[in-house]
Formats: sequence, C-alpha cells, structure tokens
Amino acid sequence: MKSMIEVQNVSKTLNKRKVIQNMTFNVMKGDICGFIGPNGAGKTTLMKMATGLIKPSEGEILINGINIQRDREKALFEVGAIIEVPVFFEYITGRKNLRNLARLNIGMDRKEQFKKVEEVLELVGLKDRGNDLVKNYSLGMKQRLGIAQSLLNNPSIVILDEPSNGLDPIGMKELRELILNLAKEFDITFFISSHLLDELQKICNKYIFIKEGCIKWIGDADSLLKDKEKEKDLEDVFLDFMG
Amino acid sequence: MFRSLFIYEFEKFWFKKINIVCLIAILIVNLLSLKFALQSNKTADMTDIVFNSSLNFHITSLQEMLLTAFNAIVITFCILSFHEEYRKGYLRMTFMRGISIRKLYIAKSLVMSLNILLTIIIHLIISLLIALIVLPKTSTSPLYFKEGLYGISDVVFFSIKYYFLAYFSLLTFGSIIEFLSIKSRSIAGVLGLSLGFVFLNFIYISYVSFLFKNYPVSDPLVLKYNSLSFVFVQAKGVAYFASGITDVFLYSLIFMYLIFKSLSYLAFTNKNYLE
Repeated sequence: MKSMIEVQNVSKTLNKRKVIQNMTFNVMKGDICGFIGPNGAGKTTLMKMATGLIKPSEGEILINGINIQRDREKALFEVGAIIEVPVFFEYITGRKNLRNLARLNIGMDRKEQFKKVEEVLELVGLKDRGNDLVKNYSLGMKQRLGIAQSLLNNPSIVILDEPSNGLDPIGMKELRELILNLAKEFDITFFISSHLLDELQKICNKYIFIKEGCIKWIGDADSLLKDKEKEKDLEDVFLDFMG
Repeated sequence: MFRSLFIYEFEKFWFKKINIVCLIAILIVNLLSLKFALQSNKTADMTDIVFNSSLNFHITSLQEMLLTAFNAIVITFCILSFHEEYRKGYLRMTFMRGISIRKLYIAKSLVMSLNILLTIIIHLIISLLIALIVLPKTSTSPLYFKEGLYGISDVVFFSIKYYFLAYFSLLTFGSIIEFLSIKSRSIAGVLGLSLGFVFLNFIYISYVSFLFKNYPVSDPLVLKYNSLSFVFVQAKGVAYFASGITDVFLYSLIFMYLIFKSLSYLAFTNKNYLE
C-alpha cells in the first residue's frame, strides 16, 4: 500500500523547547488516521509541518512521496487541510468564498472551478445555503464550509485539526458521515486530530497516540483492542497511555 | 498561474467593505479640499500659489491630502491586506495550497500598487471635475516652487511629475506599513508604529532645520538631508521634483522602497508562518 504521509525522524524546537521529538510514522493510502494527544502534545505543530506552514527543525516529511521542504508546491498539490479553525470572509457568501479560493485550482478553467464549487457545496450539504453570508452560518456550517474549502482542489489527502470542535451532536454525526463517505467514495486519506475520542473511534482505522511531542503508540484499531483487551473504549486506552 | 493568483488577490481586496469605503472617502476628501480652496480664494490673488482654479486644483488638493488622507488610506489597505490576512490566519488557507508563496507576495504587491494607483486616478478625475464645475476657469496658473504663471502644457507636465512622485511616495509608505503589518502582532501595534514612524520623521525634519539653520531652505545639501524624511518628501519634495529643482527625492524614495519591500518579502516568505 502507498504511503501518503511519511514523517521521518521529525523534531521541532519552538522557543528553545522541543515540542516534537524524533517522530516517525506513516499514513497509508485509504487510512482514516486519528492523531491523539492531550493539549500541548504537539498535534497542531506536526500538522502545520505536514501542510508546509512551518518547517521541521530536524527530519523530513514526505507527502505522496514528495519532500515538502524541497518541493512544497508539488507536495501540497493534492492536500486539503483545516488547521486550527477554518477562516473565511464573514461578510460574503459561502459560495463566493469558495469561488474565490477555487481560483487557486491550477489547471481548471473558470467553468470547471464553478462546477467544483457546486460539487463540494453539495458534498458538505450546503448547496441550499451557499448564498447566505458566512456570518450567518452556525459553527457546524462553518466547519462544513471549511471542509468544502479543503476539498476544492481534489485532494487525495485531507488533514483536519480538531474538526469537530464546537459542533453539536448532530453536527458531529454529519461530519463523521461526511468523512466516511469521502473516504469511501473518493478514496481520500484522512489524518485527523481530535479531543473527541468517541468520534475518532467511530471512523478511524488507525491511531497515533502522542504525548509531550513523542509517539506513545501507533497501530490499527484492531491491534489496539488486542493490546488493550480489557479496555472498552478509546478514552480508557487514551488515559492509560497518557497516565 | 500568476494570473489566477492576481485575480484571486484582487477579488479578495474588494471583498473588504472598508476598502470600498476608502475609495468613496476620496470624494469627501475632495469636497473638504474644495471648502479650503474656496476659503483661500477669498483672500488670495490669482497669481498666488494658494489661489485655486480649474487648472491647479488637482495639484493643490493632492498636496493638502497626500500626507493625511492618502496615507490613512494606504495604512488601511495595508492593515487589511497584510496584517489582517497574515496575522489572523486568512492566508493560512492560501499557504496550504500548492502555490508559490513568492508569486503570491508579488501578486499581493501588484494588487496593492494597482489599487493605490486607482485611488490616485479617482482623486485626479474627481478634483478635475469639481474644479471645472465650481472653481474659476483660468488659462494660466502659478506652480509650486516656480516663478510666474504657466499655461496648460506646463501644468500638464508638472502634474504628471507631481502625481508620479506622489504615487511613488504612497507606494513607499505602503512598503513600510506592509513590513510593520507583517511583523506586528496587533492592529494597535501597526497603527502605533506607523504613527511613531511619522512622528520620528517630524523630529528628523526639525533636527535638519536646526542643523542647517544658516542655509537657505532650498539649498541642495538641506534638500538632500531632508529627502531622507518620508514626511518631507510628501510635504514638499514632490513639488520640488515636479518643478525640476532636484531629483534627490525620487532617489531617496527608490532607496526606501527597495529596503522595505525586501524586508517585507523576507518576512512574508518566511518558512515558519506564524510560528
């Protein structure tokens, strides 16, 4: 199976503190990989490095086999992401926000870009609300619009940092279904960090647990259960690892 | 790809309502200028430089508003396009796409330059129209730092040089604010540093006039030192340049522009976005 995200001996020092320490892991094609750790563990920092927003102090990150530091443009060509919170121009419509960002879809003419915008609006269930101003969107709708943004460039990898933050149970269910649907229908690989372990347990086939910038455990959902046979859910496993 | 980036940036620029308000404000700025012009015309002679007519209002109004209203517009443009987008995370979405950050910066700079040019052109058109409708029509006019009265061809030539350097001074001021916008953590910080920069310029001008108190004000040495003050360039240097007395103000602006544009470029393309 093809490796979509390869993190090789990556370390990151911020303000003289090593926030990521010699991290190595792979996310394979078709994976929905949960990236789990307590606050300040280094999840967002690693995701920022994987999306080219910051560079590692040591080590390398390969996206789809391309080194992001050496060939950033090519490596990010098929990556969609939401890091921290999705950002929009609040006083224009969701559709206009997407149409503006779609201009960065290199190789697509304007007609195709418009078509793509409608396609992603449909996918995230915002087609009917596309002409509403973003400031009138609920948090869940903004999160879905953020996902729509990340899908605009036909990504094969989607990186989501805390995507269910602030969502109500219905919003979380919709998001979960959307991710599962996209992974199934479009063969998109997902790399998702979240605090909501129950949510991750329902969608992920692979987990990476980190603490203080170090990997504590990597493996698929089945082996996690084998390793921790007595545990019933991810929360118990998480507490056990972090303990 | 660059074309797409340019349109993307241009579209984003005009999504921001405050930028549209800035453009509308030019009309108000011109009406204020007209008010001053009508007042000064009551006491001024037609041969006085302060006398406003259909031939020179577009110059006098820009002279009055360059240092204040136009700089304020440039600060607004820069804060919204650089500080807000860079610091508040709007650019994160762009930075995570497979596009060149270098090209993005160039597109952003071009859009900024084009829109500043647009404000200057709108000012020119409005001031010409207002002058034609309201102010006395004359066939000759006095020009800054030039003796006598000049006909339309001289006024046109003077205006082209005046508007060119005024525009370039705004681009230079923009490059300074752009750098402060990327580096400052808050809008208050950008505003504070911008005003601090202008204030320092005033102190520098006072210091130069104290240092050269025995020299005539238009002595080449005094002008050379004053050309390092951005405020002096806008207040008087533009007119000195347009009147053909010296080109030193053009060179100093080029110098400042290159320095601050390079610093902004390095800050913008830093490989650790908002680390």
